Amino acid sequence: MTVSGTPVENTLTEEEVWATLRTVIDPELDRSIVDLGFVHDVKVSGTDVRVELRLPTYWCAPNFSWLMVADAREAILALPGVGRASVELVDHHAAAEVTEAVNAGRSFQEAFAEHATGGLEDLRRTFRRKAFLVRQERVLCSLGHPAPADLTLKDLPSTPEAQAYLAIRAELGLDCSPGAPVVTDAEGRAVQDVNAHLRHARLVRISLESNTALCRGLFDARYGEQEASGGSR
Amino acid sequence: MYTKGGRSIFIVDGHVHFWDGSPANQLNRNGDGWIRCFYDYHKNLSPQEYVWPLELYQKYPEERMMRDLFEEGYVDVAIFLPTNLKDFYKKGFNTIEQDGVLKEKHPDKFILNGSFDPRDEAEGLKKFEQEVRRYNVKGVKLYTAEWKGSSKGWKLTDPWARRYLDRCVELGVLNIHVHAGPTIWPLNKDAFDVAPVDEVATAYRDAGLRFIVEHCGLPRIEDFCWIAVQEPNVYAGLAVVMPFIHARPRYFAEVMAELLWWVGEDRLLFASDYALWSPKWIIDKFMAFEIPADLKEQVGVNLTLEGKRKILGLNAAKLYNIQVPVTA
Repeated sequence: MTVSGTPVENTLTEEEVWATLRTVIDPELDRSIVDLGFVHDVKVSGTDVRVELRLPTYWCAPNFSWLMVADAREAILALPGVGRASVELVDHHAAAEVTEAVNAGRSFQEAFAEHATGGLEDLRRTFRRKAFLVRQERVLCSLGHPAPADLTLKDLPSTPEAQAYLAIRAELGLDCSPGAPVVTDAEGRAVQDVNAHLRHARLVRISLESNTALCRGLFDARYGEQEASGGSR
Repeated sequence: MYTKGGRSIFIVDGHVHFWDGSPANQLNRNGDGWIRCFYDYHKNLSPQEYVWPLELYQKYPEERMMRDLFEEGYVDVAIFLPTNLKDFYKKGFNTIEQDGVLKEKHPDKFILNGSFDPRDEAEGLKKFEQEVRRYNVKGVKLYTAEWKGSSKGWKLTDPWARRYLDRCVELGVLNIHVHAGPTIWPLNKDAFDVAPVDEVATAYRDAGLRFIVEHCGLPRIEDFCWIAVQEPNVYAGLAVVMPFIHARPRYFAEVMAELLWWVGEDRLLFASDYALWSPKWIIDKFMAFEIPADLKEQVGVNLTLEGKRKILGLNAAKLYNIQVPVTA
C-alpha cells in the first residue's frame, strides 16, 4: 500500500545509525566510539534500533562506560524515524546495571544511588577541559615550534587539527571570532606563563595518547586485532 | 644483578605478586573478569615469546617465579605488594599469607608489604598491627578500588584511613604504595584522580611517610606529575609504564621524558608487576634505551647510566634500607 506523499516506513538504515554513533565520543580519550571499535553491533528493525557496545576491559570505569552508553542512546533517539533505541553494554562488570538503567531512561544518580553523590556532568566537564588542552597543543605542534604566543584564530590553517580545536572552542562556548587568541585556558582566559601552560598541555596530551594506546591494545588483546576499526595508530 | 660490559647494576623490582587467580579460587564472575583483564594487559604489552598460556597465568608455581625474577630476571630484591580481593576470590588474590610463604623461604630476596582497608575500622587496625609485627612490614599496598560488600571503594582522606596512616607512622611503616582502580566512592567522581594523594602527602610529610603512586597514576599521569612536583615525598612506581618499552616504544620514551622532567630520576622506581610482565626483557630493553634526540631537545632531559641505576634499584634501596653491594 504505497501512497505517494505519505511517509514511507523502514527508511532508517544501519548506515545512518553508524554515522550518528560516530559522533559519540569516549569522554576519557576524546575519540569516537566507532573509531575505537567499541560499537560491536547495530541492528535496525522497522523503527527499532539495537546497538551493542563492548569496551577494552571488564573493569573499564563504570562512570565513563555509562556516559558512552547513555550518549549513544541519546544520539540514536535524536535520529528521525527512530521509535525505540536500546543500547546494550556487554562483557562488563556493571553491564546489567548500566544497560537496564540507561534504557529505562534513568539517571546515573538514580541507578547508583547508594554509590553516587551526584550526576556525571562535572566528570564530563573535567574531561572536556583536558580534551581542549590536548587539541590546542596539537594545533600548535602542527604549526611547528615555537608557535607565536599572539596567534589568533584567523591565523590557523584549515587542517584537521585546527578544525578539531575550533569545534571544541565552540562546544565550550568560548570566543570563536577571527581575532580571538589561540592560546587560552579552557575558560577562554589569557594565559600568563605561556611556556608553563604549553608544558602542561603537552603532558596532558601524552597522558591521553598513551592511555588511548593502552586501551586500543587491551581491546585488541581481548577481542582480536581485526575487530578494531579506524584510528590512526 | 644486571651485569654487562663490566658494569653491575643492582635491581630492586618494586612491585611483584604471587597470586592465585585460578578458577578453583574464583568466588564469582568478577574473579574471572579480574584475571582475564590482567591477562589482556600481559598479552597486549609482552613480546610474543614471553606470553604465557592462560592456565599458567592464572596460577604459577613458586619455582617459576623464583626463576623468572632471580635467575633469569636479574632481580636482587623484589617487593611484594598484596592485593586481597576477598570479594572476588575465596582465599584472596595475592594476600600477605600467600606472599609470606615465599618471604619466609627466601628472606633476603623479598620485602613483604602489608595492606589495610579503612572500612575494617578498629578490628582491622588490630589485625594490621599483628601483621606488621609478625612480618616486620615496612610498607603497605593500598588498593582504593577494592570492593567490600556493597562498597565499591574508599578514599585516602577518609577519617578511618587517616587513623590507619597515623598508626603506620607509629609502627615505622613508612612506604605507602597507592594503587587507584576503576571504582571508588563516590562513583560519579574520576576514580583514577590522584588528588587524595596530594592531601595525605602534605599531611604526613613531616611524619616521614612516602607515597609511591603505582603505575605513576596512569591513566592520569598528568594529575600525578602535577602533584609530584609539589610534594617531595611522592614517588612514581613504574609498573605498567615499563612494558610500553616493547609494544609502544615511542610512548614509553615520551612518558619517560615527561616523568624525568616533572618528577626527576631520584623518585622513579622500576617495577615489573610480575606476573603481569617478566623483568628480564624489560630490564634488557631499558638498559639499551636512550631518550630520542628530539625529546631530549624538546623536553630538556637526559637519561644517563647513573639515572638508570637509581631507577632500577638505588631509589627503592633507599626507601627500604636495602644494603647495596659495593660492587654495584
